[in-house]
Amino acid sequence: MDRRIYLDYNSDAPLLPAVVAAMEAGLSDYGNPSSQHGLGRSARSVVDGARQALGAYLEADSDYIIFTSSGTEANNQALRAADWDHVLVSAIEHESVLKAREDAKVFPVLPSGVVDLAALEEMLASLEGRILISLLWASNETGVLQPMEEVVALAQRYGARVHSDVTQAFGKVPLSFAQSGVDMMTLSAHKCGGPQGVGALIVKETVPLTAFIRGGGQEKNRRSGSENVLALRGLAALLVHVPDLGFLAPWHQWMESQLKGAQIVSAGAPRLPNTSCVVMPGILNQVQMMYFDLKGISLSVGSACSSGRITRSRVLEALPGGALLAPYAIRVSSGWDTTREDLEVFVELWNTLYEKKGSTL
Amino acid sequence: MTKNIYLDYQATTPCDPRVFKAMEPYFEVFYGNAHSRSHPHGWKAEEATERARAQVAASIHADPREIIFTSGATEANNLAIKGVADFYRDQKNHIITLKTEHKCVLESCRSLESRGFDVTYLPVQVDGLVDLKVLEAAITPQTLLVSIMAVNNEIGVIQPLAAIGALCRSHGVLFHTDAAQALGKIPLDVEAMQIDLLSLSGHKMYGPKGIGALYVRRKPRVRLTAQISGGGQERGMRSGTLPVPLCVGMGEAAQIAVEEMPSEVLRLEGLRDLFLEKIMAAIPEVYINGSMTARVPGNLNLSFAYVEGEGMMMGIKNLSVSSGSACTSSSLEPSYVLRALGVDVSLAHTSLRIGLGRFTTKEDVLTAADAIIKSATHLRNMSPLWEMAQAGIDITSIRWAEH
Repeated sequence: MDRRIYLDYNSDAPLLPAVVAAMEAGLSDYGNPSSQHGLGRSARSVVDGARQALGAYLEADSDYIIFTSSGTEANNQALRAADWDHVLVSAIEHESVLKAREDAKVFPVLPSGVVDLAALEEMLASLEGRILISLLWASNETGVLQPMEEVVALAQRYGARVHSDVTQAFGKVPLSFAQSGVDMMTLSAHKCGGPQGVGALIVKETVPLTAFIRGGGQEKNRRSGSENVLALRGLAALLVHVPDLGFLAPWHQWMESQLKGAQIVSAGAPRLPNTSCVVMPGILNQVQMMYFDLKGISLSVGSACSSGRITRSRVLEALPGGALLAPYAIRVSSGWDTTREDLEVFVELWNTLYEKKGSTL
Repeated sequence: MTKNIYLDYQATTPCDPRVFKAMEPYFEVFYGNAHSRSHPHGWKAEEATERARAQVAASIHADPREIIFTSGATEANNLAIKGVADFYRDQKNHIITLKTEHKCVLESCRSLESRGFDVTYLPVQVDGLVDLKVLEAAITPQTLLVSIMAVNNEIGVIQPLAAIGALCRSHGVLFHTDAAQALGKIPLDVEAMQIDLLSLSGHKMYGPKGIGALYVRRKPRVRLTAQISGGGQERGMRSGTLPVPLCVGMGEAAQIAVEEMPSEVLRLEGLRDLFLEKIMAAIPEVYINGSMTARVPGNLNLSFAYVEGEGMMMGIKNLSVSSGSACTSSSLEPSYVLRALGVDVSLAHTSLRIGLGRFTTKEDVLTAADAIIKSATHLRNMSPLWEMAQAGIDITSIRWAEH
């Protein structure tokens, strides 16, 4: 495994060394944060510390941060644990948003990969009642950053609320809950070097959100279950050591320019510094994946979760014209431990494959 | 500083060093999303979660395909109850549970009531056990599910799972049991006990926090509606990326718990009896809450008449014990579990839950007993009520002035 090159950070990132250290140091700690005795109180202080650190990092009121077991759970709670009359979701959301409600209405994206504001506005104008718009901050497959400011302004004109799944943006680009103006934000720790098993839902005080998982009344009655203290320790450490991934942007630019015959999806749109969705026309992505895998590179077609099948990119198929590209697209996503050499090897292998393809056709 | 003695094993348990050891490689060397199908990073992660799944399955005599990982027993209980209710809502609408269930079972049921379900909250007998005749009488043709916990978190009593299972099966009712407090303490066999759904928690059995599991029977098949939707992980019943190290920890913890159960049960019984004899010999008017026969050896719940529980907690600062279940112990309400047993409010206020476990030593229980005896005696000596009781005045007969 050591020599393999990992370019699938958007599915899961290796833990930052500081996170590993913090979690290892806390491995033998125990105590239920709800217990009154000293061990309970010290576990409580870990939970509270992580909450404050996250509040400070995202400029959010830490009293309104609900820790969950994953981004998926947080998305489900945001969309389902309030009495929304209409929930509007973009066509390129993560499945945990798309599938959270059967009655969700889907708004499209433009060929650029950016949300179609006009279509959204049209939808808003036709609806009444309590409306929630859910739009991810950055696409997990193409890395496209959405014009959240405009979406928030639009929502405010129509009295709608905005939820944003920032799972893929968290720890990769600067984020501020307060400045964004969104009403709810979902995040997960494990896409940027934090532990799996912890996510959060951040809500504005005014959002009428109820509990989704009920029980002992933890998280101020908004999410029951004993807190995942160890993972929260890891999250707190992550927040102190969030890596600046800016260095990846020029590398990806360089990589994209070097790939022979490649089409870069949403090349013109603002994107995450670590994500490239690339198309090699004529070679099915399953074939590409097998090839890269044999050559020691781990990457993927798209979202990892599709229940064990390598499916075609749903996100790409939602792009106008994207259905034609989808069968040939792969996702290259890098992260804190990626080296320039990793991308160079990828480029070299890609170009070899591309040339081979030319010779057999 | 005197050594802190941890006697709160029902709130949470220390993670066993052997469990860390199993988890550790998955923090550093192996990473990967267990659902990434296209590369070895993902396969390695999946291999690990599947091995863990098999370990959990084996611990309750289930098939690995019947195990759904969740974030904990709270989520597993929510999923079992609400998931089954959602799936079968057009067929049946009645659920039976106990008044002494964990809050997450009770709250899940309450949320279903607000959606049109009928829920019967059965009383328990003075020993904390369900009366099977009362249970049978409560079953109607509309009854979809019986949810009865295996082992109570406050009083440690063991419900007659096999008898409940047989009863439910004969009436065509699904049987769910919250076994968060049970694995490694009593034998669990979903076949022999005819259990359809069973919830487990990692951190109550020397595994990590943030992980739990729900057993969902395949034959005859039990269906449920996912409560967390998304990528369709866990056979579509629970979406979300699996936390690989936590799954590994849970699997290891389950295996160790079952392997060591026979010897551990005997050891804890010895320690518990030692502790109890010492307390009983030294302090009068100490009452045991819940059955002493159908009870896991690692739990005691004692009421110290005339000794206020919170005051006692202050007096025994280096003992980590609980005066109620952890989830509610921040509130000063008397325990609803003890109330359901018919324990008087004032006695409920004097209760302590003492949880013994894998790392409890003989020295621990002896020191703890001494501290409790000292504190209880001290508090009683200061108590006017105790003085009156000693003088033969029946406190309950006093009519207090209103103010």
